[in-house]
Amino acid sequence: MFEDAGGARRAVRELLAAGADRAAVTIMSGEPHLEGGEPLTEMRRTRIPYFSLAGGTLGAAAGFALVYLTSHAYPVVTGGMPLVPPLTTGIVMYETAAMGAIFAALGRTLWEARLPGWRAARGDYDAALSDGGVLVSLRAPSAEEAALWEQILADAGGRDA
Amino acid sequence: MERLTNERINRDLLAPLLKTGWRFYAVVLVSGAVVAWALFAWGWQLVHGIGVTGKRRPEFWSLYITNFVFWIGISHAGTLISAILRVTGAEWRRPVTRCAEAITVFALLVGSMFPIIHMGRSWLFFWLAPYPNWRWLWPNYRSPLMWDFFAINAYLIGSLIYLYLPLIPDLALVRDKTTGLRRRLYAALSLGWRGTEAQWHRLEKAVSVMAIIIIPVAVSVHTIVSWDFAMTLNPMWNSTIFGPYFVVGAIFSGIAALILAMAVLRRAFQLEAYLRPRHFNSLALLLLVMSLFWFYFTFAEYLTVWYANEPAEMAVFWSKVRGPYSPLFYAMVLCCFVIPAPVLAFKRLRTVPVVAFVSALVVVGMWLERFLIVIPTLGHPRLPFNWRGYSTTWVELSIMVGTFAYFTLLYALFTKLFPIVAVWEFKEGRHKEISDLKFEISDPDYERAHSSHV
Repeated sequence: MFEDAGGARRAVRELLAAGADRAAVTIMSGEPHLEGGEPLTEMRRTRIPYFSLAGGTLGAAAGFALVYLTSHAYPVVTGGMPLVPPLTTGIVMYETAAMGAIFAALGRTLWEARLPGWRAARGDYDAALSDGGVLVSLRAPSAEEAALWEQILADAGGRDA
Repeated sequence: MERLTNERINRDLLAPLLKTGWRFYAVVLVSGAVVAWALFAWGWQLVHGIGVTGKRRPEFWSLYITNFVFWIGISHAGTLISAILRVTGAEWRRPVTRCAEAITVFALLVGSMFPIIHMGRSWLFFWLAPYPNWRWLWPNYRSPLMWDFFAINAYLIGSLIYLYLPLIPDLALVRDKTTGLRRRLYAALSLGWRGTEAQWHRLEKAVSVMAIIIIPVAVSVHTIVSWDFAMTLNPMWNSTIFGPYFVVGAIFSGIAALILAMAVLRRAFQLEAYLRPRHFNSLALLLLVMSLFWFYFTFAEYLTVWYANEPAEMAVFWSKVRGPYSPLFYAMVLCCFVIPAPVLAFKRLRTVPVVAFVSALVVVGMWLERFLIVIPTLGHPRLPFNWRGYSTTWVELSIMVGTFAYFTLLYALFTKLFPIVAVWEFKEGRHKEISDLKFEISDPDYERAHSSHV
């Protein structure tokens, strides 16, 4: 546990220099003050905007399909007026596109953030994070490396290493 | 004054959740009693028919639809304003967003009840949804009422998600600070949030994406509500500017409702260190701008009708300007423009109590505006034999008052269960402020650039 993000950053850099696997390192904090710089832990590029766009397109298509197919399901006599007018159908498509984009963004966010993750929260998480500080956690493949990395974390200013 | 440390921020902002004062019980009791009375009135209407509300030809829409439009307007307080502030990176938004987003969700819930109550046979509410009847005939998608269904649902779902996503880290915080059943409840709601670097990154990205999606949805909602009126050929409804006019009015009333809610929360939970005068000042400036916009649209709308001098339109026009509705019309202009604009223009007057008072006037004024859009037009259809003055009954009034109490009750329960100020966003903002300050102090270029101003 580190007092601030700066200490955690230094510790992670030293761990990586000492040969720790980036994928094994996890940084946790009660607020996102690690944002802004290069991510220290392994992080794939987010695809939330692309999924949202795809969800929006699908939503619009679903809206059109709903209006078109259901309007043609029963032969209503309209006196020559269009059954599926583009302007009014566009309004329904607009709203279903928004719903599609919202659901896709939500689904992708949860998937990328690995939520729900109730079991993970019972693992290396420390409730003391809620009062501040930054937690650096990593899995060591052997006892020797664990001892070395504990020393690095302690030297960098970490508590309870 | 005690410094705003992490411990103090947690203590102050979680206090309403962890301690319950008598005021909370009083609010729940009073608003609950009013809601119970409104439920009785609604039950009365269900048993005796919609006629007990005093609805007669030609005023079939009356107070229920007035309130529907009003509450949908109030819902623009939150998600839309919060999204705009997020997208534009307005740092002062941080303590404001959660209060605002909650208003949206509850106002939409309350507003969307009115078409169901207004149906009379409310148990057939599912007829509003797109599903086929026994002849395989689906609803008419060319009807603005059907557009309402899609728009309000999209906005409600979007607003709920937009409220919930940034709430997850705060739910995890409450989980860490509570024990027993409450801990289990918040643990489930926080989805096992740990606050890893990847989770924060994803959350911020998702909130930004949601903010961008939700803005056009919010605008569409009130535009579509305005089209419920504008798509008819009724006098003073069939107007091309009704969409933007309604959106402007919605944002206007929404900001006023937000200021009012913030003033109440600030006082009730002693949040003076979080909801500061500068937040009220910024919102008051927004309110001033919207007051000017509202006046511009109202003036444009009335001027066009008056200049055209079309008899059916003029009947409605005169009923508002010098007829039976004129006291309400002038009260509306007073509450929405004549008082707010000059008062809010002076920085010295933009104090918390004055801004809250003006906001209360604006909320009243905007309710009157909705009333004056709905009722005079209905009372003056194109054929004069059908003209009639409006009167209401205790049933309609009770249900209307009950929905205000219902909103209060929902909001009070929300503040009891969830932090009403986004704790992590507030902390993040504070860290940003401090690091910006450190940068300014340590940067020699910054010092040089600003030394000439000293």
